[in-house]
Amino acid sequence: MQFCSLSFLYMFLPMSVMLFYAVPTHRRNLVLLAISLIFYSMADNMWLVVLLLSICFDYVMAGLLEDYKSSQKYSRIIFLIFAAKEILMIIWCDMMHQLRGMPIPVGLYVYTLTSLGYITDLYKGKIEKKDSIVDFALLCCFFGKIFAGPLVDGRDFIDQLNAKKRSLSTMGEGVVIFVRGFAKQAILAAGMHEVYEQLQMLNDGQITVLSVWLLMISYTFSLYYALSGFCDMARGLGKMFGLELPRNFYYPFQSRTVQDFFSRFNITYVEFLKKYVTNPLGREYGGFWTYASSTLLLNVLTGFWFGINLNNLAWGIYFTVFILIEKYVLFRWIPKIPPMFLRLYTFVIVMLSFTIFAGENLAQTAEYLNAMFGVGGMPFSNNSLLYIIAQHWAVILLSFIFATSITEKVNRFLNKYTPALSNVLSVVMNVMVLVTATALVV
Amino acid sequence: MTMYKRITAILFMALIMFLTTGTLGKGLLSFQTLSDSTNVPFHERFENFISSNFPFSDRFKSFAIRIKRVGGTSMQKGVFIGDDILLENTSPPADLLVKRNVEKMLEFANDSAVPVYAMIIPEKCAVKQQEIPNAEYVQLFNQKDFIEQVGDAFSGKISMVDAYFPLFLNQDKYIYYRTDPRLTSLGAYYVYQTLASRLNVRAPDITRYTIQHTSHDFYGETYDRFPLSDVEPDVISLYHLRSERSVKVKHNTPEEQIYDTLYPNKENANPIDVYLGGNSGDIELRANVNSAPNRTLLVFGDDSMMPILPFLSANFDEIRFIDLSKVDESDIFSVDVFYYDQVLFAYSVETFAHTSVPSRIEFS
Repeated sequence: MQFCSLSFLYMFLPMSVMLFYAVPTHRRNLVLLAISLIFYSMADNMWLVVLLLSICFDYVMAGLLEDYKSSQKYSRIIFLIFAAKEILMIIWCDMMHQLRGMPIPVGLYVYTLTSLGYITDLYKGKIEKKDSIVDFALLCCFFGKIFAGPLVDGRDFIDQLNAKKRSLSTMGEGVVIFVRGFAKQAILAAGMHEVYEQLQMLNDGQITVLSVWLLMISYTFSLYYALSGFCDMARGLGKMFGLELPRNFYYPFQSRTVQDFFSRFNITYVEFLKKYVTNPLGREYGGFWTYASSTLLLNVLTGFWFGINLNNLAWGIYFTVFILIEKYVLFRWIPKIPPMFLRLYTFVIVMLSFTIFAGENLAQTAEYLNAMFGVGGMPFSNNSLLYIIAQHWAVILLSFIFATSITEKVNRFLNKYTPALSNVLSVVMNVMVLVTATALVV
Repeated sequence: MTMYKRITAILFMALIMFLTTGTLGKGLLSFQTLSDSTNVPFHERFENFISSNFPFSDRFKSFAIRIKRVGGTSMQKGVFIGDDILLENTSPPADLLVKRNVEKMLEFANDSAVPVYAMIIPEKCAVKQQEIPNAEYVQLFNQKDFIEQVGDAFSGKISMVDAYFPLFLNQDKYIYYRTDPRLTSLGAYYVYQTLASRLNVRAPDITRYTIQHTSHDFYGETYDRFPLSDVEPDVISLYHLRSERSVKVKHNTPEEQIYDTLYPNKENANPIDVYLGGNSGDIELRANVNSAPNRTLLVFGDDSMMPILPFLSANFDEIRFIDLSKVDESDIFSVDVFYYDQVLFAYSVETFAHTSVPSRIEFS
């Protein structure tokens, strides 16, 4: 079961919401956990046992950590065993996926890293006492965020679970965010994926410089809208059940620098890495080499979110080079350059980086790069490309528009000067978007 | 502000509950059950249950097609959306399959010593190219070239019948269904004319046929995927030759159905089931043509041949039609090829270019 499937939208979701609000308040977390496990079993029943075993193991470790809190030696051993289990589980699944084609368990990164963060906080004393197994399990596998995050802070999430801050207007806010995420997935991600597929089907004689640029743009946008759609739907679902989940993408394609891009793209994962990996290494306070090595580590691990392989390693190295150049060479000029040029520069750098992601190996990445710069006398454009653009001009245009904050600004403007109109428009637009997105998945 | 948020929440829940209730109601009315004992996983059965019972699904699909068309998309999932026609795109051939099909047919022709003919019927998008939106920019697989190349590969051992030319000449007429990939009876007649002349028989003039329209609201399989209300339903027309002859259609199936008409299931919604009572895989068609000596024809073909067979009954005393995708190997071996005067292989481009059905032929 996927978020964009009819079975989820028009059966599972309404039933879950009704059931959740029908039970007494003190039973709701238990019900939400049951809903999450049913959802997981319908999304990936093959790995449900692994999820349950992992949660139980982690909870036992949390208990042991609490019991041996007074002994630094034992608590360190327990923590290391726990951390090794989480990291090895990720690496093993990823390797088995690459070597034997074994599917990666749904939400593996989300539940292992969430648990890792929680127990690290417990180990470091930032969380004083372990929570109930129901709360801990919900922290790891709340169905809204299981697909692609966002990663949440354990303490904050569990506090919200028990705060019982639920109302019809919070649900309304959730609906708006959820519908936005659904539209990103069903309209923009699917639309750009179609563009990508059509461009990929072009034969050698039909490939042009512009078609490879569009190939990269469509690949990047389809990935971005799919991920950010998942996260918006997660945030919306969270609100429907009274939980405030953090924003995971904040218009990354209007970043002014590469460093800025990393503060807007997959935000909660990057923050997680900073908090638990690079900041303890003294990234912010060390000299050049400390900063360079920890930035490299941060970027490589960011790339590994999408799979542990050579291309994603290269992706991390690529960005590290630009971040270091920006910090140590361009820092004097950056404030003087008009924002539009900075955005264009970052957009191009980011697009070029996706040749590494899109390529099956580095040789293919090199082919993409050669084609993008017309190496080998490749034509600039042709009729095949124009046909594809004519077929998908609307979705391409919308993808660019919604990658910027223009609509948010328009909304804010309307809200300020004509709040009633803005609210009515918002309701109407949301219903229209929901109907359109539903039509596209029927 | 809070009020609008509440309205949004209520509207959202009302809309999804309405559709949920509709789905459940439709599912219960159709007595569809989830407790299936097949090996399909529960979540897939659940998804299928919801999809097949989703209320207004045709309207939603039609709306999605319109939205995409507004956004410039005239080709969706391999189908070109014309103004009043749906045209299925045909992808380039699978070379290895085609090579194998040609080899096996040549082997058959070498062994049989009976005159062998082959006809590859082009798909709609090749003939009605003028209906494809922005056709000048579309890179279509060239079916005409493909058919010619296959003809060359037969190197004179199998005589090629050109079905492309008569259809192309009449491309402005109603020769293909608008909502289905197949030929109409009129399209079949034009193909038959050319085929008859290659088989050295004479096709009666079209004025000698009485045309019966059995259905004015046929929606074909392409429409099921793209229920666009702009596209008019198709008309199923049957051509009856005005003559004194009698016909007998026998289906060599375990039930052994026998009909004394070319169109036994006139009320059927699907034209393929109307012609000769449907494609059962092995059909014998006898007509008292009174040719001297008796003329017999063996046809190996697919669904695309079904509308053409009734026309051929005007020229042959006996026709045996075998669809190799629907019969066993033993049935193929049991066919006595020497009994027939001529053998015809007749496949659509789709079957010949993308399946191994033609290569199942074995000489008995």
